[in-house]
Amino acid sequence: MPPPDLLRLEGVSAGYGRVPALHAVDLALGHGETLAIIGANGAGKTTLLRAIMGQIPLLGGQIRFAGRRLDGLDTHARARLGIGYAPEGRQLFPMLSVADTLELGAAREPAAVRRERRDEMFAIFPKLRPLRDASCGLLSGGEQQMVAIARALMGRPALLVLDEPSTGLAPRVIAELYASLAHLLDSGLAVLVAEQNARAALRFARNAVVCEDGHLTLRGPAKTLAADPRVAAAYIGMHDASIWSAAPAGGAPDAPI
Amino acid sequence: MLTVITLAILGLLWGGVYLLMATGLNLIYGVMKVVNLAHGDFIVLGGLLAFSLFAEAGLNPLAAFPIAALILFGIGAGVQFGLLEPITAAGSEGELRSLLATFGLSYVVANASFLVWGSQFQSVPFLEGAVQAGPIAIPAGLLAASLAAFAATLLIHLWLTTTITGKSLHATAQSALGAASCGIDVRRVRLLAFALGSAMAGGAGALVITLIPFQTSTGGELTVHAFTLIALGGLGNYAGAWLAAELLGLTEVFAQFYLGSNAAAAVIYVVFIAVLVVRPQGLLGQAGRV
Repeated sequence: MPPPDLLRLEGVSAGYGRVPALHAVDLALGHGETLAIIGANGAGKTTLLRAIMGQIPLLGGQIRFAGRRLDGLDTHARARLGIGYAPEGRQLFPMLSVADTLELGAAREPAAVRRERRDEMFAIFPKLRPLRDASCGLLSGGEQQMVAIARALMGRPALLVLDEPSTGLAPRVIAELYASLAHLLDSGLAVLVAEQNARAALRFARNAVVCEDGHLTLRGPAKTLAADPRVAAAYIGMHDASIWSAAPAGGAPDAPI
Repeated sequence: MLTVITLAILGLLWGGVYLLMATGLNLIYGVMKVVNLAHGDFIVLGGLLAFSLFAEAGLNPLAAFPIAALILFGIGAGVQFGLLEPITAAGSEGELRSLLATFGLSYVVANASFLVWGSQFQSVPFLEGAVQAGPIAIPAGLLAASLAAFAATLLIHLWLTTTITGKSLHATAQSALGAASCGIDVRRVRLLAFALGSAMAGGAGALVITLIPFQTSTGGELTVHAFTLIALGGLGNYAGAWLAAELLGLTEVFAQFYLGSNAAAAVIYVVFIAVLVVRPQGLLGQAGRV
């Protein structure tokens, strides 16, 4: 019998007020797996992640994490169960230092453990080490995103949930960020990433789903989806081709949206 | 010249007392974006509790200081849990609703205090002599109250900036979602912030009643004082609040001496308005905010 899924969504509908922005979504993610949710702005990607993190109430369906129903749990309780969350817009603490921010990611651990894990993060994201005393508000976008991810990792999660990590970043920085993430996967971490930047996300993740108008319309291995003409036409052309280095010249044309 | 130096020292000492009054309000605003209009009534309540501890239980006013703070900590926790959290968690108009709720609360606290202590002015005599520093005489009671207020403010500031729990208050103030995704229970953080802010009001009250007499209706005036300070300093800004507290202390003492106490009350607001016209973001603006 295969091990139970780490994260499982069954018929999840959610939205703001009474209007659902997500319609009966089914989704499963196993230990150590990577899944990209791609789709246009407003397609419901962020809503899906907010539902998983308990930021909005479900209008229907249920979400299980490590076999446990998440209903009624606040965001912090879900984080404590082992879901590391780097929300949309990063949600850093602009006036706090990088070191303090990272330590807060493991706020419930003793000081020695917090410091040890913080140093582990500096090993994973060496760029952050010299910035340890800098205020998060003064960092570049790429550095801020690294802090947001490192903060989410401080609690030693089994699942990392990333909402649009590439927003506002230069292609080179995006490539660097996903390269750091790829290294983390060796430890058995599962990653769920929502991205408008389909190229970067499809290159990083093993599996992917396409989210359109609150429905998951396509799903499959990321490589297959990347080659799917519907995906290529709708999502991949939207971004600078230069970061899609694996694509043959002219293979992923800068098609209009 | 001697007079000016004496007045300056008095003003700076009063600044310490004002700082403690304002820091509690600032903490609550910084973490929760709630302007607690009952803050002055909490200060008066703390003072009247200290009065009873002194008059009925024969307690030293300095011993009444932590006890009043502790009682107000409990009251603040109860108010946050039973009143503010349910109404602010409900939705988008949280700030307006909390403003109205604390406005109502200020009447409840003031009238409850009225039932217990009546309407007469109460005071707690404490260290009525003077400390002689060369040719300058400083009232010993003011010196003790000011030092106690400075010490309490400094301790809380250190706690906020060096401990992980203190930092989680800052974190929640800067991004509640960010804090929650760290596994921080932001509801508990808000409870702690409101309770601590109320405790600072209670402690400040226990000190101020040794300096000026209180009646139950003094609260509104003190709320305006504390609010003036944090508006001057920049809402949520500690360094700014300290500067503003000293400025207010100095202004008040000098205006009282040279213009009389009726004019002094007005001068404070003239300074307040002048500062806001020149620097609408407060003395220090956003720098150093929670």
